[in-house]
Amino acid sequence: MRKPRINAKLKRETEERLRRLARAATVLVDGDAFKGVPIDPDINTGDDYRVDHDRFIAVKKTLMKIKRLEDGDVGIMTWRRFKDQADIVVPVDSHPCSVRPGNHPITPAMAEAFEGRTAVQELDWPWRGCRILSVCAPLRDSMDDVVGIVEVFASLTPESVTVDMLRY
Amino acid sequence: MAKVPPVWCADLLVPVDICSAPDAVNPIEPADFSLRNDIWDGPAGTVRLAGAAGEVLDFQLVLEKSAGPLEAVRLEGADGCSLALGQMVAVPVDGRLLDDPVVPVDPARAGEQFPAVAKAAPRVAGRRRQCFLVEIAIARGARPGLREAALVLKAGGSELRLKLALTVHGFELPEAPTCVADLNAYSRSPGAGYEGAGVEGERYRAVEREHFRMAREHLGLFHLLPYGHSGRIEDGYAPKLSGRGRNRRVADWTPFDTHWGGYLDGSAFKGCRGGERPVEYLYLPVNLNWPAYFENFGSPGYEVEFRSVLGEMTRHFAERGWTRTRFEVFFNHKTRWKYFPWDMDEIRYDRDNYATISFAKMATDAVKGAPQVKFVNRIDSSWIFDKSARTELADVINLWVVNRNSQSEAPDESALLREKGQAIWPYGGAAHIAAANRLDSLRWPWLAWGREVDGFVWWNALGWGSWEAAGPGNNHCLYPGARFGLAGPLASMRLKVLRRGMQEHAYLTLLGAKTGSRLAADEIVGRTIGAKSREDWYQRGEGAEAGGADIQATSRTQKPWNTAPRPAWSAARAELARAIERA
Repeated sequence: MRKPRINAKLKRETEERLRRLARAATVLVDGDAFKGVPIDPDINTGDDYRVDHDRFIAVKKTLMKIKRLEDGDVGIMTWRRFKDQADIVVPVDSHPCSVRPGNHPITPAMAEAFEGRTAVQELDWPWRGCRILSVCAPLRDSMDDVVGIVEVFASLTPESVTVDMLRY
Repeated sequence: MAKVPPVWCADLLVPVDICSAPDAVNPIEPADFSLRNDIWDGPAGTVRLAGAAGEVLDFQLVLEKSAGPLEAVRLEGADGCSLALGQMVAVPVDGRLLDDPVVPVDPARAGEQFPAVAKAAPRVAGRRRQCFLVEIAIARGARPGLREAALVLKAGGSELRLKLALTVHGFELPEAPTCVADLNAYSRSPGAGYEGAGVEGERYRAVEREHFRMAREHLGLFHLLPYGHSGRIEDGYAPKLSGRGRNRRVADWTPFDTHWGGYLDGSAFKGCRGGERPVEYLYLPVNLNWPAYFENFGSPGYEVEFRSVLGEMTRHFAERGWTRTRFEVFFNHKTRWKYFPWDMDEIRYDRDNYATISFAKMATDAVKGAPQVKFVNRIDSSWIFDKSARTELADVINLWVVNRNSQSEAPDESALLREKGQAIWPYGGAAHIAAANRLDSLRWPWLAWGREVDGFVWWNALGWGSWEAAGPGNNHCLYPGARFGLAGPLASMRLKVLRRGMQEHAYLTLLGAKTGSRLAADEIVGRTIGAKSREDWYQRGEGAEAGGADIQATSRTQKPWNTAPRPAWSAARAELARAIERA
């Protein structure tokens, strides 16, 4: 299969847009609420996985609003540390990493974000046939501790595949 | 050792081992099974079948290598009956190749088509025999009585006449199924394996339509959930919406009408056995993020968005005259899928009940403007079905799709729901392809009758894997037909068995209708299968079943419905037919 050509200007503009959204998320997502979403932090999937309804809803609504700050294709989700991996906590859109069970290896960009810095990465989405650009940024609680990361991402070939799951 | 004849016949319920030694065509049947069995008298060369007008009778025609390739088949002397033929092909299951998909072939040209089908099918090294599915459809209005007919085969250059003793009973089966056999599938899965059918468009819709038609021809209902766990809806499955809050409305019905209209007015089933009728049920695209934006959840705008679009739906469906289908409002969201906070599918903890209750109430209120349009609130339940059925959910949920094993322990709760007018469909899967017989597929309609519920669900009729990876083989009830050049699915043998079970459900229902109660059927079923009453179809207090959402588990109960041997089911069917004729 021939790989679609990635437009350098689109890529630059996409990164700028994603950085603005990630910045908004670091400010607007309530880190204390985020921290309390899983009721038992040792469980991340399965029949006994439970979340605090109110905190989950607060974080999800904020993420959905942040998406609307910029035009164009964008997906958004959040991660927490889970043992030596990262675990998806409140996704809005699908991502190359599966939501179930949700724990995945920490990429270098995610590691940077867990350290408190914003970082950029490119990922393949093989079964959707696209390459995505992703910006990872830290989420902090009221004590200024990093409690998770937000990942905003967009297709680098939006003319053929988009990542925004909620357009209608 | 019994000598296997070059050509022989077998009941649909008996999987034929295609590679085994000649005396072991099935591991649990007698060694002389190929010479003599319940439908086949080898020495006399006779097949014996019996069925009602409007019924389809299937059996397996087996050709050993020594018979040569099948060239043609024709039916003679069976007035009011028609013949169809399918070539059985193998799929890999648990490291073996087993016959399950059925490729339709023209009986008069089987010899021309056979090589192409064999070439496109997975190759079975050491195949000793080729199985065909013979279908005899008895027309509506066919006269009752015995036909001394013949099935004339041409194979290996010679002609062979099998006698066909076909008895047509003195009653007719209804065209519509007497309970719902739901074949559930997800999103765009019908298009998988067909070039150009991965996205909305005429090509996809044509392939999808063949799935609906095939289900109907087998007395089933193809059922396609139109959204994913995230709430994402594929193009074409929902009307286009515009605006937010008080301005949220349907901007364009065209995609929805183009996609679903034929199923809702019945035109998609034109010329289809089973009738040109609307689908009995249809999932709506309604979910936690459609038509209302979850971003507004808990604020007035969410409810306004939800109610106004459902209200528009109601009016649109009424205008279109789509009043014979039950439209399902179903929230297929689970906490473990992370997108939303509640279990609304397979509720695990009571704490999540309130979400389903409040949404069901909101939906009921939103659609009350046109009572001729039928909306139902649905949940799928397992872990705490027995508890949930005794909460407010019992009043607001109209369709309960309940894990078969969870439901088996809860006869009283099932009765309670039905007293309230709610429908129940136990769910699970078809029999494993590798099972020694296909009884588990046959039993589903019987179980629905025995437990006095309204239908049942095979939850994953298309399966997740590809043709080459059927897994343990309890999904894939329909296979992509693309590798054989077909623009639609192939039936599995388990789907054929399902149809037989559905026809037998009609026998049970007819006898009840004719006698005014189920007592006569209970007596026959008790004497043959061993289940004497509704209670015998349940496992109250046994704790023998896999619990919760373990939907693939085969029942471990020792109740007769799960242990009665294959001949008992055939005996029950025959006695029911006699009783209907007498009633």
